[in-house]
Amino acid sequence: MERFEKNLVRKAGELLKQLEFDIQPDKKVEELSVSEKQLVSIAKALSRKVKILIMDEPTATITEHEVKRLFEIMRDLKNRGISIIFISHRLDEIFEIADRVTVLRDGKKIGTGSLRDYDRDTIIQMMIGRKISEMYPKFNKCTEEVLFEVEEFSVPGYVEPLSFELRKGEIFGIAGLVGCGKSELALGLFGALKPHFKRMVLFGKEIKRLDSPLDALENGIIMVPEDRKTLGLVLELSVMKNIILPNTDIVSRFIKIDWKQSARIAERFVRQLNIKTPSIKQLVKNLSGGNQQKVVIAKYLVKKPRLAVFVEPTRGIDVGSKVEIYELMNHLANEGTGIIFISSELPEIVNLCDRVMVMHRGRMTALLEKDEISQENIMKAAVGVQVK
Amino acid sequence: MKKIWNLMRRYPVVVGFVALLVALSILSDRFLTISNLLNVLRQVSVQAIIAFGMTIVIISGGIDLSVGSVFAFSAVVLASILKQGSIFLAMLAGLGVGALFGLFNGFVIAKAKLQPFIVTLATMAIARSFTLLYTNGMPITGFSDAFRFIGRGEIFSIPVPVFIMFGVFFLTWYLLSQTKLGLYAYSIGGNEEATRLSGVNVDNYKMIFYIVSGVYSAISAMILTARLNSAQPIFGQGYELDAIAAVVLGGASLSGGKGTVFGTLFGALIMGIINNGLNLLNVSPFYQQAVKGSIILAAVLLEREK
Repeated sequence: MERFEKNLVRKAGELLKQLEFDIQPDKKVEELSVSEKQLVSIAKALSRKVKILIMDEPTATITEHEVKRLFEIMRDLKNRGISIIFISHRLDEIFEIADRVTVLRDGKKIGTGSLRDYDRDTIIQMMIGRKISEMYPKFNKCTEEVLFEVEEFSVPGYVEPLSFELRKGEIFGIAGLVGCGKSELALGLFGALKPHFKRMVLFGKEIKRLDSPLDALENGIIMVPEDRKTLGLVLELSVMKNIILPNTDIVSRFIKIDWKQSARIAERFVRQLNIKTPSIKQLVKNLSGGNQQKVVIAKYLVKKPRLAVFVEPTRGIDVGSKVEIYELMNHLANEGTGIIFISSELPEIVNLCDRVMVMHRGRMTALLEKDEISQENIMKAAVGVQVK
Repeated sequence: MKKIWNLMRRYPVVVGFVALLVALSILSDRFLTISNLLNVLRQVSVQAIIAFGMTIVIISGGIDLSVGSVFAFSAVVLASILKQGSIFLAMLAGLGVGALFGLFNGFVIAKAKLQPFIVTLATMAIARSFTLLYTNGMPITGFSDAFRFIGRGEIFSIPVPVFIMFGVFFLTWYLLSQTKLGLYAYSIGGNEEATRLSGVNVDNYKMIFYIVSGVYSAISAMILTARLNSAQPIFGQGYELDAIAAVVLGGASLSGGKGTVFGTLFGALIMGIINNGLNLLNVSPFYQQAVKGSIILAAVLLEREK
């Protein structure tokens, strides 16, 4: 038994070395970082004699440096005669690594061909079925009126005390690398992680207690969570039941739920957010990613929120739905809801936000005004360079 | 026709039930008589009521292994007070025992974040021990006719336990499909974290589900105690498995989020009919467990195929 295992470790070690992955072969996978895990699964795929390798969003969870390393490996594999199908929503990567491209939209093939014949804008147009200038709609009207402010807000273990304010009509961005604390800041603002704060004022009313999502909802604070499948939805329940879940107080008397009223509310939001579903009775697990995401948003919009925290609301969804979500944030901002927009996708942060807070290791490293917002400034602050 | 087909696909347990009914009617001329069927219903009522509570707990992603022992402890407490007179007080005390154990299960599971399997395994042992200590291992027998009516009485020649079973069935159906409690049971079982982030006090509702399960065990204990005119400390052994089997036969998923009390009712009926049918056909009772086990496996495999 022991010899067998030693043999395995030796073989795995050779493979990892050959691929130049710096991973100890006898380590438990659970002890590895997310990106190291990704590398292990790539090595695992390559441990067999492969002719065709399908990689589904392999770069989604790894760092830029590791992406470079991955691409070197992919080129090497290509030279050895292995064909690779590389699925990604990151256009830069497609242009960097691919020879030919196929664009899918709504489950249909839109086009396929050599990348020499396509430029970025054409591909984006094929993906969204509209022009790129319409990709990041921005029509919110920023004012000077302060809507929400926090002083010395912290989430123990994740976010060091920080203060900021939110103005009426503005889209306030929070950017930073994975692990910088921005997700935890969102969870804290929603009471899902217990925050500490000196003072918090929303619409002129001081918030004293924020120990649970229930406290947050009662104060008009909502959060569209990062991962719709694990945090946003109950996949085995219908669209209607998911939308009603946080709103049972308005459709029930004592414990009895009025399903007719629930259906009316669900129908209204399905229409308003253009959720594509055969009926409100459909189980959400059967919906596309974009429509699932809209259900998550719908369930939190039923009770008009005063402060809405969107965490990675467009991750892994089709471009059409992305645009609709951007438009929705604009509308909400104009209607007077405070919008905090947290994202790892720099283009959407840069194009949509009026001010951007950048975080690094749980601390605020920059608060960029409109004219200072650029990918470069955000990246600098995100890696810890104090911009101002 | 299409409607019937859809119904069959949604509730394979009903199809199985009808198939069994037809098969046994052909095999035994004593099966399809009103008195035999009422007899089956009366026998099933005890297990079915426990299984209804188990349905709620399993839908919410939990499990309650303590139902059989809570059943026994509740029965002996009920019986001991009955001996001193007041039926009302005795029944209240019996239900109270069920509720308290449910509360304890729910509290430990929700607040200490322990696995329901382990917690209820522990309370299963503890409640059994309480039962033996309380009775010194002796049965308590001999109650008033008024009380025994619960187990033996008939209204319009239908046994009282059957009325109670359908009463609890409708209550459970109502809770699961028409109230917040039911919506939360499905959503907690389907995705606990998403439910918490929807502002639901998940801990409180978990406690309620286990309390319901405990109270149902106590209701069931009343029926059996009244029917046998005796409460025995060995009552309820293995009931947790019968209940879980009925729930699973009814199409619920042990990982939570799925299931109906309608399915459980038929699951319990199938178990009851198998017992009854094998008796009528003079099959040795030693085979019964094997037949039940095979049917459960077949049902789960069918469910997976869907």
